Parts: sequence; C-alpha cells; structure tokens
Amino acid sequence: MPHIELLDPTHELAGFTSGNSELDAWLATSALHAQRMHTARVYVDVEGDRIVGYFAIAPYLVARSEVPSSIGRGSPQVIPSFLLARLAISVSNQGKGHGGELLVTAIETMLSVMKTGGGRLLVVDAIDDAAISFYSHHGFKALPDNPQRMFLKASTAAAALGFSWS
Amino acid sequence: MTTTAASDYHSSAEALMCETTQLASADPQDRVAAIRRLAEAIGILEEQVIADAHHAGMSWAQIGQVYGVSRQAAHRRFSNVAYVNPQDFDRLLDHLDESPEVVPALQRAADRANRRRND
Repeated sequence: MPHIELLDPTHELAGFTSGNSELDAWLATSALHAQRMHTARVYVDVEGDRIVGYFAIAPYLVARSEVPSSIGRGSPQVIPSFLLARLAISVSNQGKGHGGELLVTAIETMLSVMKTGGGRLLVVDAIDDAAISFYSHHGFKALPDNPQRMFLKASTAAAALGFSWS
Repeated sequence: MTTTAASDYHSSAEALMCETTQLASADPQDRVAAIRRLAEAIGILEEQVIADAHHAGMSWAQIGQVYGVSRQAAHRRFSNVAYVNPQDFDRLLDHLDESPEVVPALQRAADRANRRRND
C-alpha cells in the first residue's frame, strides 16, 4: 500500500523510472536540492522501499503582462497561484488510475496551503501531449498563448474533492 | 541569505560527465540519445543555477545581461510567474468569479484515492 512522504535524503531515488527521462533525471539529480533550497516541496509515493511516484509543488503567480493605463480601477494585477511543477508515476504503476490519485493528493496539498495562505489558481506545466490529455481530462484548461501551461480554478478543484474551501 | 555550495551541483555535474563520454560512442543512435539526455540535464541545471543566483542576490537585470536579454525577459523565463496579456487576464479574472465547474473525472479520482486510503 503506497503512502505519501515528504522527500528526504534517505529515499532511494536512482531506481525511479516513469518513462520520461526528464522527470526521472530531475528526481535523481535536482529534487533534493530544490527541497533543501525551499524552491519547491517534493513529495514521494512510497511502496515498501520503492518510490512509485512523486510530485513537486511551488508558489506561483499569474500576472497581467502590461499594467493597464487606468491604474486604480481596482482590478488585480496578479493572481496568487500554486504550480504543480512535476508529477510522475513509475512505469510499473501506470495504467491503474494511480496518476489520477496522485494528482488528487497533489491538489489536496496545494489547496491546504492556499486555504491558509491564499491562492485562486492551480497551474501545471504539461510536459508533453500525453500530459496535456491527462490534465485536460481532469479539468485543467490551457492558459492563453501556451497550451502546455494549464490551470484549474481552486474552487473547482475543491468542489470535485469535497474539500472545504469557504 | 542562503548560498549554494559548489558540492550541491556535484550530482548534476557527474550526470553531465557521464553523458559527455557517451557522445564519443561509435553508434550514432547512442550519440543522439546522449545529446538528448545532455540537453535535458543542462536545462535542469540551468534552472537550478539561475534560481540559486537570484536567491543569492543577483538581480534579474544582471542575469538578463549575461543572457543578452532584458530584465523583464530574464524574469519571464526563469521566475515562477506566468504573464498573460490584459484581455485574457481579465477573462481569467471573470472566470474565477464564476461558480465552480463540475469535473466528473476529478471527482472519480478523488473517490478512488479516498477508497485506497481507507483500505
């Protein structure tokens, strides 16, 4: 039975294979560094001694590209958000719905932080077409001008998860 | 202020060295695979080095100067900010004020995750 843990130096990272070499390389070479520097939080899905999935999250902003000429109309210039920077499932656990379940855990983690500290959008960088389909299936939409950067309203995610958001 | 020890880059640097030797392989397929992995590893390392440099006090203007781009362009490329043009940004704000949508696939995934936790 897998369970989620915050990444630490005792986890065995080298054997993790998701089928995407970039996601595997990041976990093996950069995840602990990001964790130590607090540029992201990395969570691993552990089964026995083995990592069967992971995700990384970080605070994020969606900003208006130009400040409007009529500053002061009261409209926000930035939307506080959270970025699901990476999410990967081991090859052995793919095709069993585990990706959707790990996504739910990642969303719950981000919603908890946002409920305490603020935030309205969940953003994800979809790494390829398969990832775009995966996130699209789970309600994410492309940000304008960038089909790989996708978003989901926090309130929509909370409603789907039965997460208290008021 | 937190600074990065050079040793923090050792694992990334070792991975790069390993791929560099593969570039000398006699098999063109091995060389292509090696250069692809090398490009990915450098991309990851680049993000790491830039984030650390900014954290250590280097300004976006200084980073941009190294890359030959403006302060804004450097910020856009390496920071945790997505810039959206004003019209689309306003549409996004309107969308945020609307009622939550219903996403059945996400609800089903949440149900599965809850069942698995309670097993």
